[in-house]
Amino acid sequence: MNSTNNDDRGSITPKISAALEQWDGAKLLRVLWISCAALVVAGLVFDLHPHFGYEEIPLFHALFGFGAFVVIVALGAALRFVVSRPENYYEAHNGTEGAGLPEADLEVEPETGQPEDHLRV
Amino acid sequence: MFESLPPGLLLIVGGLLALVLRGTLRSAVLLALPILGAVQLWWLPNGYTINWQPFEGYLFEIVRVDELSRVFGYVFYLAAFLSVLFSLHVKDTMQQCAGIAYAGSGVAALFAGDLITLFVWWELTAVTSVFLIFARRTDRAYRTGVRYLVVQVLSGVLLLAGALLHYGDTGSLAFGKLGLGSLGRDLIFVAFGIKAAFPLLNGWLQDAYPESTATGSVWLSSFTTKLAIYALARGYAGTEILIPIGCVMTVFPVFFAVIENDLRRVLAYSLNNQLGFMVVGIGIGTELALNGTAAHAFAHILYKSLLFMSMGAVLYRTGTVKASELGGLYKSMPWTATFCIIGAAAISAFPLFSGFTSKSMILTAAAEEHHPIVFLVLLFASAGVLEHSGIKIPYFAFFAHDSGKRVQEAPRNMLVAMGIAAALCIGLGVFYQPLYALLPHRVPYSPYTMSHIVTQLQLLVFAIAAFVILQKLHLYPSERRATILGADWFYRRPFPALAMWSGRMISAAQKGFVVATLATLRGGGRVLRKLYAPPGPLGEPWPTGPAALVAAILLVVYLVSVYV
Repeated sequence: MNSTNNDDRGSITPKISAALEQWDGAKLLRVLWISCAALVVAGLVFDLHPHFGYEEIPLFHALFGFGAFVVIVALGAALRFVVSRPENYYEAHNGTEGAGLPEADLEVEPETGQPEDHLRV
Repeated sequence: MFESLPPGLLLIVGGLLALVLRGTLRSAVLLALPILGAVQLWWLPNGYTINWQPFEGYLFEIVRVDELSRVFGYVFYLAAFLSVLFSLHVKDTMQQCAGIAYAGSGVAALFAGDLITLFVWWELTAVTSVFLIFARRTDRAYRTGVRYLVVQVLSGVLLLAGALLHYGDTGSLAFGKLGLGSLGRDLIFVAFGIKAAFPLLNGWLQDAYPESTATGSVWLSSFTTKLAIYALARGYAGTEILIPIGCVMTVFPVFFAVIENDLRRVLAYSLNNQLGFMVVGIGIGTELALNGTAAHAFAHILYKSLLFMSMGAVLYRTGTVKASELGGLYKSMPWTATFCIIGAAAISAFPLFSGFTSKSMILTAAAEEHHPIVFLVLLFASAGVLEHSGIKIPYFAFFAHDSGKRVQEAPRNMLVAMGIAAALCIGLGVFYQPLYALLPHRVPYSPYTMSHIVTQLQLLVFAIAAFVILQKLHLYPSERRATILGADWFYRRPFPALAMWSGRMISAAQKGFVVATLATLRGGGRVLRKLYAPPGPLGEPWPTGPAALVAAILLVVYLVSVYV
């Protein structure tokens, strides 16, 4: 909290910081799993007025949301092999011809030396 | 007298005024102008027009106020006000003048009743906004700005050509419902499509917006693309091809956004995806769908500005918006982090936030018109929005691994602007009735039904669960520094290369032509001299016409290859 001590926006700022700090990790996850459970129950209990046949699959929206997210991340990661180029791709080849270097040639060193595992959730 | 000014002109005049004003007075004038503009718009009744007939047969409808232009007009003024407030600390006259004049020309274009007036303001948005990119004052920004300007002006030229052809066909310049079907109207469609960032015409958006200044991209995110959405809604509502175009727009940026490292470029992809929802709404074309498009544009301008503001604040304080270099900023920028999370929740369309009350309208319209595949695509794209704007932006900037950066919180004016935008994001999610009342059509619609709430929450919460699980399993792609190629690649790499190549070919051909001509002359010289002894016509210097033509071609090739 030291970083916010010299801040001129009153005493609420550190409180927001602290609240954000508190809300990471286990607490947030617990809320997430409880919400998932609650939504499963709600999905099974309420009539959700399906417009289309596929919506009548139980928990369709939940399954679709989960599946879509995984597909998006997987396809995005695959796309990296096609469209990812070194950071200076356009600058390095300004006014010249020739294809960019394959990505592997410019593996950037980690800037801050942070450990690879940067999960907070 | 107040009402006889075209809406938006006030801001353009203000932009010129800001050139000479300084300090607090300039700030006050810049802040007051959008408010005055909104009051003027409130004053003008629907159906109000200003006509101008410079000569017989040409009637220009410089101003036409109706429901559709009004709702866009209000949100443009609101966005202009927030952008002024957000950039109040900026001491750069160029940016402040360009920004307000850009907003003014955007507003003026909304109220253009004929295609030529539209063209004039359309081009002025291009010319004024490019300064927001130049204002970064780096070589890279300069090059980007020129590319941006070329594309934007091209859009304007197509609009003008289309308008003139359309006039030739119909004898009318009125900007009303056009639809496809003639060359002129098709050209206008493409012109709108460029600014609306249709697939493959979208390169300029991801190229230019992230290269603008910390405050400039907030201005840029609001006006150009939404002007195009308005124009499409006016001219091409119910044009069915817009449905597949919109679907592609919602989906393809999602994958790029996953791997893009520059968070403002992620926002540019996200912007493209949001435009897709609006384009689908226009394509469906029912009253509910068009209401949904207008409502979504309104809500979108606010949460997208908010997200660009939060990333602008991060850029301003840390000097970077690269995900690989950020993280942990919530400790030193807790307010910005909070506002960013609110913007993220709004764009992800969580219930009680503005995206929910607007986007659900487009989805409902797709369902009511029996588009099962479109509905599925929009659901898929909604999960994508959550991925890149709901999670990636706030998570990698403010949480994730701590980058160790300890900076000051954003300046007060930035915080106030973000605070107002955040309040509006929640406000429109809870008290949506005033926005619905502004929409062009009177259609009963209620966003908060049990079915809407539960299905949307299921989609979002289980997508978040997927994120958490992928992270735990180390399957979520880590942020890497890289350039992700987009549609701008085509005109940044192969096209200049082709231009260089054809330039070389032309000069080779020219050389060959000269050599061959000289040889012919030498061979036939004797004969010719006999026929045309000096001072005969061939005794004169080399004709200048063809030489000038060759020089002009070379100049064009040179310009294109150097500047594009």
